[in-house]
Amino acid sequence: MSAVFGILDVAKSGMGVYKTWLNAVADNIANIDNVTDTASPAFQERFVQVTAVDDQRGFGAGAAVVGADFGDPNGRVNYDPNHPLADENGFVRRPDIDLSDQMVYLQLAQRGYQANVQAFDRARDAYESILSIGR
Amino acid sequence: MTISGISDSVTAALHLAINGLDARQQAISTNIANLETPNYLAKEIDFESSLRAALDDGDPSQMEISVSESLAATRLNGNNVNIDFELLASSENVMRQKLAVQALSAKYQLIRTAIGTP
Repeated sequence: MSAVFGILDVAKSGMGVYKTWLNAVADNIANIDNVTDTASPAFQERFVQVTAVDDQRGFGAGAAVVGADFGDPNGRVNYDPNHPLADENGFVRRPDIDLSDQMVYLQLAQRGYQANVQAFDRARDAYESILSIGR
Repeated sequence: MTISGISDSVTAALHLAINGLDARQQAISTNIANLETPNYLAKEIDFESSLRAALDDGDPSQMEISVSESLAATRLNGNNVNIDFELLASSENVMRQKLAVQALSAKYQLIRTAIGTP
C-alpha cells in the first residue's frame, strides 16, 4: 500500500468485511422463519467468503470480501398440515438456519468490527504524532 | 539517506525506526482485519535487529524490514490471530512511534537552537 495514510485503509477494509458479515447474519435472522411450499427451495443461509489481501512489501493490506456461499436449498421439511402452503401430504419447507449459530456469528462480527475501529483510532493517533515532526 | 550536518546518524536511525514501526502498525492492522479469515496466519514484523546491525556497521540505510508468519497455534478455522496480543502490540507500537517522534523533535530543536531560529 503506497497511500499516504495506508493503515487507515487497512482498518477500513476490515470494517467493511465485518459489516458485510453483520449484514449477512441480519439477513439470515430476518428470514429464519420463512415458510415455502415443498416445490420451491427454502431460503438459503448466507455465508461471506473473505480473503486476506497483501501489498508488494508483504506487510498486508487488510481483508476483502470475495463472494458468498449459500446454505442447503432443501432446508428442513416440517409436517404442518394446517399451514396454507402445506402440500397434499401436509409438509412445508423451512430454512436450515440455526439461531444460536447466527447469534455467535453476530457476536464475532460485532467484536471484529469494534477491533478494527480501535485499529483505525490507533493508526490515526500514530499519524497525528508523525505529522507533528518538526513543529 | 544522506548524512549531512543536519541529518546525522541519529536522525537517520530515528527515521528508519519510524518507518519500521509504521510497517509493524500496518501488519497489526491487517492481522486485526483478518481476525476471522480462514487459514490466515498472523504477520510479524522485525526490523530492530537489522537496524542495530546496520547502525553498528555505520550505515543505517542498510536496515531491512522482515516479515514472517506467526507460529502460534491455529484455531479450528486455520487462523492464528490473537486479538488480545494484537491490540496490546498496537498500543505499544503507537507509544514507541511517539517516542521516536519526540526524540526526532528534540534533535531538530537542538539544530534550531544552533542555527538561531527558536
